[in-house]
Amino acid sequence: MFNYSNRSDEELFLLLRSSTALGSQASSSAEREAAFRELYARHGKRVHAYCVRAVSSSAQEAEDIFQETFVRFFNAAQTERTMTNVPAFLLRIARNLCLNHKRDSRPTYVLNDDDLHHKAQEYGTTELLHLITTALELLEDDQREAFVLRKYDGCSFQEIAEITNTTENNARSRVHRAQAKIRSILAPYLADIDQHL
Amino acid sequence: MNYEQSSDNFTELLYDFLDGALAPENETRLFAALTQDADLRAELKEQLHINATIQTDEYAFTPPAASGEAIFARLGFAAEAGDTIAAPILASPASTAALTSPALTGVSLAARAGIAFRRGSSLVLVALLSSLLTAWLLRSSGNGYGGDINNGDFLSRFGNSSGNGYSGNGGSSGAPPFHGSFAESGAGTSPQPFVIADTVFQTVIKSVIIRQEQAPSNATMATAYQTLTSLPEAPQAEQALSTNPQTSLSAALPKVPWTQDSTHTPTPAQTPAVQQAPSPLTGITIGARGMVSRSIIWASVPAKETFPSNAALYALYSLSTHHSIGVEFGQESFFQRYYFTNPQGVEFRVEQHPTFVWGGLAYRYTMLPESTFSPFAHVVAGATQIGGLGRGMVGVSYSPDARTQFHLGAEAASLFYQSDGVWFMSPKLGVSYGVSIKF
Repeated sequence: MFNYSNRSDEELFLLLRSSTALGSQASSSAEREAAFRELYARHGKRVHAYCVRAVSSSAQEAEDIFQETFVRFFNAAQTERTMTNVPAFLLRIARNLCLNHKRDSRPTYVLNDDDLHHKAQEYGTTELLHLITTALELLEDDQREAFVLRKYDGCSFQEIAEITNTTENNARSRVHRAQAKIRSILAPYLADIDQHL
Repeated sequence: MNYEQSSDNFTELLYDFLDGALAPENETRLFAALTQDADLRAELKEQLHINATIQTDEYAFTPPAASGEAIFARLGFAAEAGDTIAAPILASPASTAALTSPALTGVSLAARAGIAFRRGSSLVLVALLSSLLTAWLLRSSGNGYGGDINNGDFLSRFGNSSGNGYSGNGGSSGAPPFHGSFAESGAGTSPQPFVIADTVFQTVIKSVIIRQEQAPSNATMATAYQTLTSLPEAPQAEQALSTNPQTSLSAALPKVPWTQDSTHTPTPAQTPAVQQAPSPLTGITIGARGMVSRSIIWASVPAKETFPSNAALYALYSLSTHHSIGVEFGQESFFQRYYFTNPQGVEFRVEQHPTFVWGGLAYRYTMLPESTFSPFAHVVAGATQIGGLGRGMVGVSYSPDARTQFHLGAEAASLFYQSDGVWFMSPKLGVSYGVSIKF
């Protein structure tokens, strides 16, 4: 099996091609598979985090979009001439799939405040994580998406702007508003946490 | 970025600081504000806590193994043991429990089931339809095994090479199982000679088959076995085999009661054939097909057809179970509309609908060679008297037995020819039907 761990994303992307139609050398099936596996290992976590936290409240829908993202990414490699930012490209695919999905079926999420109180009885990391992810559901879509891209995927504001088709200032503003809103939603619980820390 | 002195803007400074985007000249202002503003310090602490907590979101950062497998499967890659992406953080018992929660496991199972269903449903559907139709045909003919047994295909399907298909049910080919329904096979039908390999195993099978064909219609496999073991020649055969293991069972069992009255006198036509050398035609498929097609260009003149028109003959050699290559010849009318300019510079448009003899190299891909019904693709690259010819067909073939095959498909063909240095084409679309015999 090929070891592509020291190859760049761009080199791996070129290796995904199966034909010489775009001028580059065609890769063998084994090379394509190895390159794809390496890219999946590198970026699967980020894309999955985006799908799970920014895309949908349904785990099944998120998994479907996650899978479809990588399949489309592989297919796109057969036609895209250049690739300068593979993770951003992956996240853009996931985002487009998400938008299509939301256009078809707009989900609603109702926060059960009792559930928040119940879950916040103990202030361990898991409980706070549950509160954060629940609070994420209360954010507006663009704010949640920007927040997830920044905090989960580690995207710069410029990358967020490119992925979400907005300006860098807008991207920064969305992240900050999301941070402030999450803090306000979790304020009662965070205050208790402060006392326990 | 300019920040004015307000609580909100210090929060902005704080967020930029946490994002690593705070300019050095603003750090001093932020730190000064932090020393004086308890709320700002609390917010810093909380945001740090939120950021740290997010990094423990193992569920988000760990794609399920089933998702990875599904992706690789969809792309035609084999799943590997190491496909699961390691989470960048340590697993806590609670988060591990979350990952293996019934809900998530259900999602994974659902995903696996969905993928498996999508991948297998078409095959299952084809197999089911094939089996039903084959069962119906066999039942309506009243002779469950006549075709296969008489032409020797039975043994080639059920263990001629490996013998491991003996107790199977025929898989997707729709062939009936070996057990049970022998009793219903053609009572009163004269057994025909068939070719088998001269091995003990297959001779036993043959004896069972032949005797069961003579057995009462309600006989079962158990009675078949009893019939076999109660043969008067059985002890002699055992003795011959024990004396000389190289002795074939057919030689050890020379007298097979071919007829129901057990005269033990085989007629010449009923004498079982000994092992024969492979036919030189083995692997060759000969077929004929007709075509009903229309020109894509509207044909303004009728076709001048010469018998046999819109027909073809082909011979294919099986490279493997899926791939065959060969030659194909046919005769077919093509509508032509092309232009030429005479020496005086006058342009003429020519419309004609002649019939051409064509020939070429053929390739066929059979998707499900073991199935009764199988999709296939068939392409031909060839030539006519006036130019090149390309044709492609996709369709479904029906194999009532291992030798005969009927097909029906949609076909596109085009004639390529030149006039005045300009290339023209005469495309056609239509339906092709035919039959082939495999040797």
